Amino acid sequence: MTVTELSARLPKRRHKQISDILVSTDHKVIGLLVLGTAMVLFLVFGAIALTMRADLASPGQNLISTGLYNQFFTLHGSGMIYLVITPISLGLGIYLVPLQIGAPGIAFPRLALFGFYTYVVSAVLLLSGFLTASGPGSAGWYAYLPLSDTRYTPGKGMDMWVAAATLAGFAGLFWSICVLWTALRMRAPRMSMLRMPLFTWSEVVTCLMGVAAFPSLLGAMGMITAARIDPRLFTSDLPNLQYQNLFWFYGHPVVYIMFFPYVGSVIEVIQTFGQRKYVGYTVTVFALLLFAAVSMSVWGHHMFTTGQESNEYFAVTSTALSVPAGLEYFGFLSTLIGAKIRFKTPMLFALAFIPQFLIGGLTGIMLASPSLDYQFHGSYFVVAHFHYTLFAGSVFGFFAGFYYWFPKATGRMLSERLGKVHFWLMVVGTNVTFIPMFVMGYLGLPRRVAHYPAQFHLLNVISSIGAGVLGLSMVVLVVNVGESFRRRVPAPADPWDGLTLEWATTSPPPEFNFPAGIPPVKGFAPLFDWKQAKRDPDRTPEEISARGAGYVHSRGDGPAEVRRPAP
Amino acid sequence: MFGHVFWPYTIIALTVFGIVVLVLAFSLIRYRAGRGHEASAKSKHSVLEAVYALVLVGIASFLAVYVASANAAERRPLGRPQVSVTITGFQWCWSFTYHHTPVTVSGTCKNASQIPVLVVPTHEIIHFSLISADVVHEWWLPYARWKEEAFPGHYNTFDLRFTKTGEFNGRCDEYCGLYHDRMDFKLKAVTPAAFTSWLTAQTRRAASRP
Ligand code: HEM
Ligand SMILES: [Cu+2]
Ligand SMILES: [Cu+2]
Repeated sequence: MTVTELSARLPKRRHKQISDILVSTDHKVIGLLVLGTAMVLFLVFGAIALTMRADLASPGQNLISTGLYNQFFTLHGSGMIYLVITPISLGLGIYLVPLQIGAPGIAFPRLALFGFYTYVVSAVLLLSGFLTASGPGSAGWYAYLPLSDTRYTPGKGMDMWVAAATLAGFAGLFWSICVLWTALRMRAPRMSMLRMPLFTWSEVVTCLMGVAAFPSLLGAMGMITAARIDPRLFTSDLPNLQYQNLFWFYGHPVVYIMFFPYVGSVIEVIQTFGQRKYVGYTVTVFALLLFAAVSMSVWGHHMFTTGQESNEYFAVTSTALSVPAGLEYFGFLSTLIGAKIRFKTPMLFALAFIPQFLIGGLTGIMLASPSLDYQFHGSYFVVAHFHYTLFAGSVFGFFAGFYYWFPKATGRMLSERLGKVHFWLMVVGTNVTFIPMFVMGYLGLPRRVAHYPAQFHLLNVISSIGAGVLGLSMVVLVVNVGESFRRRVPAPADPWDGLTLEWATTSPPPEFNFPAGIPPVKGFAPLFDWKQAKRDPDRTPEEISARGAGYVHSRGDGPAEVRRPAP
Repeated sequence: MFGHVFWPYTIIALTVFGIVVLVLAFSLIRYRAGRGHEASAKSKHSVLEAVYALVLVGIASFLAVYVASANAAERRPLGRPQVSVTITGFQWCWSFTYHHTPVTVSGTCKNASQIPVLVVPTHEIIHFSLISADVVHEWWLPYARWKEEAFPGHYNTFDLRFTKTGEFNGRCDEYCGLYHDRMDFKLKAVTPAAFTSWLTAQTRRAASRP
């Protein structure tokens, strides 16, 4: 009997009330609350970016005032980082890690839920800056001191920005603790650390960095708070410089928090749609850990032009990041060579991630050279670089995961056709929007300006057209999701022929996840191993459970706890 | 130093990008489903992995040493300066003070005629001291491929030497509040003789001011 058949026999679940959802301790509900909120905010802060791009389509245009432009890039950047990509990184962990490790739930579910509310308040605070007389925060997403104190950025809106960033830092810290503890302490029997799926590993590494980095953000926000109470504290050099150190001690690691889970998603998608176990598992785990370790000591590359940083040290550590990055690419490519590749929508996003993120990574290595940074720092070259990592990389990785896990999480299939339209529009839009920015930066256009010299007109027009295509692609996404809820094409338990445990239960999984138990864990792809063993007559008797084809119950291990399927 | 790093780096980056795209394209065409093959069951290539890791470490070490020494060369003082200038960034413009003279050039940056012009002699070593009167600014001269942040209460110093006469646009490159986008300046490099007569004239004008 298949899992789906089994679940059909389970008592029909009571329809959930909205109030049940809002206080649920089920990791799947909490995860979806976080992910759903973040996706709505993604559209909001994306719309703000499109408005900026419309304004930038002509050099001296005042579609929005300079002051509003400054508020927009501050909100777009802060929103995307504090309230979209970071929450999605950890929200994916809350939803998926228990499923991947065969656990019935998450550690400290109430802390995770509390984190969600912290996050909601943060988002409300950030956006309601628009309701204040002064408008929302306008000091950029890293809000350097003394610009962000009350002498230079007065007003309630900026106070609310600081509170929002602080609360987002707390939410990140809470979620990191929950997901990390889940992965470390709640794995199914026989799932050793080196049998955790790679997505779970990416979450472990993400949360390790989160636990180390979010407190530093809280410290930095504490400094701004002090400066807003008494700006005289910040009239000498040292506190202003130390703010930058403290901020970037969070600010660099967070770029990996906003990156690892998407690498993890891409890895899962590649092995599923390549129909083989990931090649170079150990190398990839090692690369992730090395990445995390080294990237805690590279923050100074954001401060090469302060004239007060050890540039050579940070140039060396930052350049060293090319080693784990190279190891990671080894895994991608060597899995694809010799695979059997199916080009479904999730796979297309994962495949586009590979060259696109590479552009972000290679230009990152360039920026790790102080001699280049003395030109590129604060220019559109940097804007292009980080949109290639965050948008062309992380967001593509996210959509790979979104199309891959959507059937699991909702029990509904998405349309492949609309998915592919979304994909191609996004590929075109992304590259048309962000490639010209490299050229603009090389030619000397600074970032964060509402007006620019006429020489940059054409490049900006191209970029704005690309942004329009991106806007269109998001419409297709929304239509696809809407259609899927209208058409209600049910998703089977394992629509993609997956390798890991989340596919060994129903779509969506019931409360406590694995009513039918889980396949025995013998490696990092337990479901794959189990299917192989079942398929391959030569592998008996050890490989196939001699006790029949039933899954091992997730809470136990011995023969007594094996659930026998009904005859 | 920009050119010493930029072109080698661009070539390396394009090569790496090209290799990855080729391998990717090859594997997508060769191993797409529907060609009647099964996916390989192998999931470890220990020797290959080790060799690859060593090559990566080798390349990264080389690059790290290369960029660190390029930086060291770039930051070395050029020698005894012939001219010293203090640059002050303020919300939202610049002022340039020539040491040992009463000359200060400033502006409001409110329109093209209000953009301050920094006049410097070619071929001479110019020593700059950079400070801010309020928030963090950044003095950027794209032509020189050089920028540095201006902090309140702290002087950053650097030397520059210009070989070509001409006018070059520069601007603030650290977001510093509302009118950051118009915080421009011009650098005008003139021959040493022209510079001396300009400075003399300015000195006289400054002295005749009450
Ligand atoms: C819809 C696609 C997007 C477009 C068209 C877009 C466009 C822009 C523009 C025009 C700026 C202002 C550049 C400047 O003046 O410095 C900007 C800044 C920024 N963007 Fe985006 N962006 C997009 C998506 C994203 C995403 C997905 C992220 C992050 C996950 C992101 C993160 C940022 C950050 C951090 C800044 C810097 C804000 C600051 O300077 O404080 N963007 N973007
Ligand atoms: Cu960084
Ligand atoms: Cu500025």
